[in-house]
Amino acid sequence: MTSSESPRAVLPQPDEIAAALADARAVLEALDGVLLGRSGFHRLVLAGILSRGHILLEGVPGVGKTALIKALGEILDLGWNRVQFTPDLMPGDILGSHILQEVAPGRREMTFQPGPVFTHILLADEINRASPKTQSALLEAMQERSVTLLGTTRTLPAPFFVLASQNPIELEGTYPLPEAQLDRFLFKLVVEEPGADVLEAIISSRRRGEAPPPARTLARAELESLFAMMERIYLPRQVARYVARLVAASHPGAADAPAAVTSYVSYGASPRAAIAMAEAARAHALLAGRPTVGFEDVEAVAVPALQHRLILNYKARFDQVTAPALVAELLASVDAAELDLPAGVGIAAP
Amino acid sequence: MRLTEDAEERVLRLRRRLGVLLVLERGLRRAAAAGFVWGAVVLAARAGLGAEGSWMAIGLAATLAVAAAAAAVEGWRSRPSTAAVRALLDRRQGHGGLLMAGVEADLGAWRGELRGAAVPRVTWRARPAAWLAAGAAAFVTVAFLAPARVLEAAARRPLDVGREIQELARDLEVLAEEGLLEIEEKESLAGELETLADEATGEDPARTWEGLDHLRDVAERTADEAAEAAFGEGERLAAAAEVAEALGDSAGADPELRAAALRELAELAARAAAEERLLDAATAQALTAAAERGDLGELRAALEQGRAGLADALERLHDAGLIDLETLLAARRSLAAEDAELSDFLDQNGLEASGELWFGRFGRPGRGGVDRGRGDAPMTWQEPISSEGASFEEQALDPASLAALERSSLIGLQAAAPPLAEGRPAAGVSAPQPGEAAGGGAFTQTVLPRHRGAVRRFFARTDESKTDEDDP
Repeated sequence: MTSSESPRAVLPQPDEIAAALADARAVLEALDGVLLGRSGFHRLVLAGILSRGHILLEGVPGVGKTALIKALGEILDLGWNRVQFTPDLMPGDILGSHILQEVAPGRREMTFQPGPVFTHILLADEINRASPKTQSALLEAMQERSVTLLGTTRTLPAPFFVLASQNPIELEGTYPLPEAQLDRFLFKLVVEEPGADVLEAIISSRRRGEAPPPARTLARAELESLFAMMERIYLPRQVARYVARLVAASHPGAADAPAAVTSYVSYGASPRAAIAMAEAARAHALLAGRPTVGFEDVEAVAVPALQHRLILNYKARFDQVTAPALVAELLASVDAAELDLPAGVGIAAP
Repeated sequence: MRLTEDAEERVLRLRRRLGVLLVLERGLRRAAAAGFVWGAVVLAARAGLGAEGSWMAIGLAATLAVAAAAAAVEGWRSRPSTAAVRALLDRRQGHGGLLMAGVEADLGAWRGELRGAAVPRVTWRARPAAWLAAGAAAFVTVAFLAPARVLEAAARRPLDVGREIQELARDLEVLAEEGLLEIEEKESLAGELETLADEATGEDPARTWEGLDHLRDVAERTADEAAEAAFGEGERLAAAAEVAEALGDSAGADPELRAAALRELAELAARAAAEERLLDAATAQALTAAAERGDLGELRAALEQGRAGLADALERLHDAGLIDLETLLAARRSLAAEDAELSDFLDQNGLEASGELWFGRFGRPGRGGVDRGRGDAPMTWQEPISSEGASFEEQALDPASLAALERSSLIGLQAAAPPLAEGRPAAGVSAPQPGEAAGGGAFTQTVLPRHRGAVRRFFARTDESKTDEDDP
C-alpha cells in the first residue's frame, strides 16, 4: 500500500464472524423452538432486528404474530411493552401524558407519565385497528427514536424496535397505515398459516398451544456485540450500486423500470428503502457467516424490504398484481453485474 | 496485495475472452452489413450502369477491411469493465461479495476462499449472426457472378398489366367467336396486345396504358356497333315475324299479293343472314335456306331462331363486359317484344297495304310522314346533321301567328321548310277576323264558339238596357 492510498477497510476475520454467527444461530434456534416450522421467517426477523429496523408482521389472527414478538422480547432479554391498538386508542395512550401531581404538600406540578413506547421493544398489536391519528403518533418514535411532548423531547431507550402486527386490510374494522409510517418499517413480513405437519407438531407437543419458554436468551452484551459486528460487514460498491439501481428502477418513470413497474406502480420505493435494503443485506450476510454483502443477500431481503413501499395503482388491483410479484420482476430485469452484453453472448452456467 | 493473483487473473482472463468474443460478434455483423451494402452497390452498378471491372472486388475487400477494423475497435472497447466482470464472477462463483470487496478492502484470511475456482466459459449463440453473414456472402456472390443480361432484365421495372391483358384477350376471343371480328383483324389486335404485354414497363406506363385503352375502345366499339345493329335487326325480325304470322292467317288473300309478301320476307331473311354478323352460322344458314325455298313455316321458324340467336349473342357480349346492361336490356326488349302497332295495322288493313308496310318497316324508301326528309330519300341511321353554321332567312311573324305558335305542340321535326298556306297565317281560327279589315296586322282576339252566344246577345241589346258601365 502506498502512502497516497486511503486507509483500506479491514474485514472481520473468520473467527470473529464465527463467534457472532454462533450468537445469531442461538437466537434463531431459540425462536425455532418457540414457534415451529418457521426457520426462514425467523431468519428474516432476526435480520430486521440486527439492522435495528422496525418490523411489520401481517397475517390473519391466530397465526402466531404476537407469540413471535413476545418470544423475541424474551430471547433478547429486552424490556418490552405491548399495546393493543383499538379504534379509541389515543396518541397519549402510547406516548404518555402530563398529569397534575402533588409533588410537595400544597404544591402541584404537571409531571410526565411515560407511555408504553418508552421501552426496548414495543409490541404494537393489530396496529391497523387504531385511527390514523394514533398510528401517526409513532412516526417520531420510529424514525428519531425519541418522543416530543409539549416541546420537550425525550429519547427512547436503545435499542428500540417497533414490532407491529396488522391484520389484512380486507378484515372488518381496520385502517390502512399511512405511507409515511409504512416507510418507517424496515420489513413487512407476511405470516403464512402453518401447514398440517406443523399444526400436528404444535398440538401434540404443547398443551393449550402454549409455547415453552425460550431455550436460550441473549445477554445484552452479546446483542451489542452482534450490533457491533453488523457495523463491520462490508458492502462492496458494486452491491451498493445494485441496491440503488433496484430502488431507482422501482419508480414508473425511471429509464430502467421494467414494463410491469411502469404499468402497475404509482410511486416507487423511497431512499429509506435503499438504506433499509443495504442494512438488511448486511444482516443477511452476517447470518450467512460472511463478512461481505453479496448480490444474493440483496435479493434475499428485497421482497420484505420493498413490498410495502411500492404504492400500486388501481390497474394492479384490477389485474391482481401483487407487490412481491413486482419486486421479483425488478430483480429479474436489473442486471446485477451491469455487463451489458449483446444478445446471444453470455457466461456458461457453473 | 488486493486480491489473490489467481482471482485477479481469472477476472482479467474472463474479460479478455469476452473482448475477443465481442470483436468476433461485431465483426461478423459488420462484415455482413458491409457485404449487403457493397453487394447492393455492385448490383446497382452492373444493372443500372452496366459497369464491370476489378474495382468492385477491390471495393469489397476494402469495405470488409474497414468493417473488420471498426468491429475490432468497437468490440474491444465495449468489453465490460473489470469491476463488472468481477461482480459477475463473484455472483456466478458464489463468493458472496468477497471478490468485489477484495479490491476495496483487506480480505485477510478470507483470501483463501477465493482460490481454486475456474474461469467460466463464455458462450455465444452465433447462429443468427452466422446466418446473416452467410446471407450476405450469398448476396455478394450473386451480385458479382450473375449474368449481366439477367441483371438488366431484372432491373427493368415491370408494369403489372397481366389482368388487363388477360381481360382484353378474352374480349377479343369473344368478339371473334361471335363473328364480330375477322380472323385477320383479331390476329392483328392480339398481336398488338402481345406487344403491349411484352413492352409494358414501369419506366413508361403511359404508353402501355394508352395502348390498352385503345384496344379496349376497339373491342367495346365493335361490340356496341354490333349491339346497335342487332337492335335494329331485332326490330325488323319482329316485324317480319308479324308479317309471317299475317301471311299464315291470310289463306284467302290475293295469291299474287301473298307471293309478293313471301318474296319480301325471303329477301329479308336472306339479307339478315348475310348482313347480321351476330347470328351464328347455323341460324344464318337456316335463314338462307328458308329464304331460298320460300317456305312460310320454315321462314317463320328461321326468323324466331334468328331472334333467339341474336339475344344469345348479346347475352354473351354482356357477359364478357363488352356491352353494358342498359344496352343489353334494350336489345332484349326489342327482340322479345311483339310489334303491336304492326299487328294492329295488319289486322285492320290486311296484306293489301303491304306496299306501305314494306316501305315503312323494312327500310325501304318512301315511307313518308314525319321523317327526316323527303319520302323517297334514303333513310340512314347515322348521326343527325348538325345545324351549327346553318343560316336561315329571318322572317317576322305577325302577332296572330305568334299566338298560334304559343298554342302549338311539337309533333315532329323535319329538315325541309315548313309548308305555308297561301295568303293567311298558318294559325287556324274559326272566329270572325276583325283584324282583316285593318290589313291583318293587328292583334285579334279569337272568340271561341262557346262564347259566341254571349257576345251576340251583348251586341243585340237595346239602347235602354245599356248602362254607362257597359261603354268601353
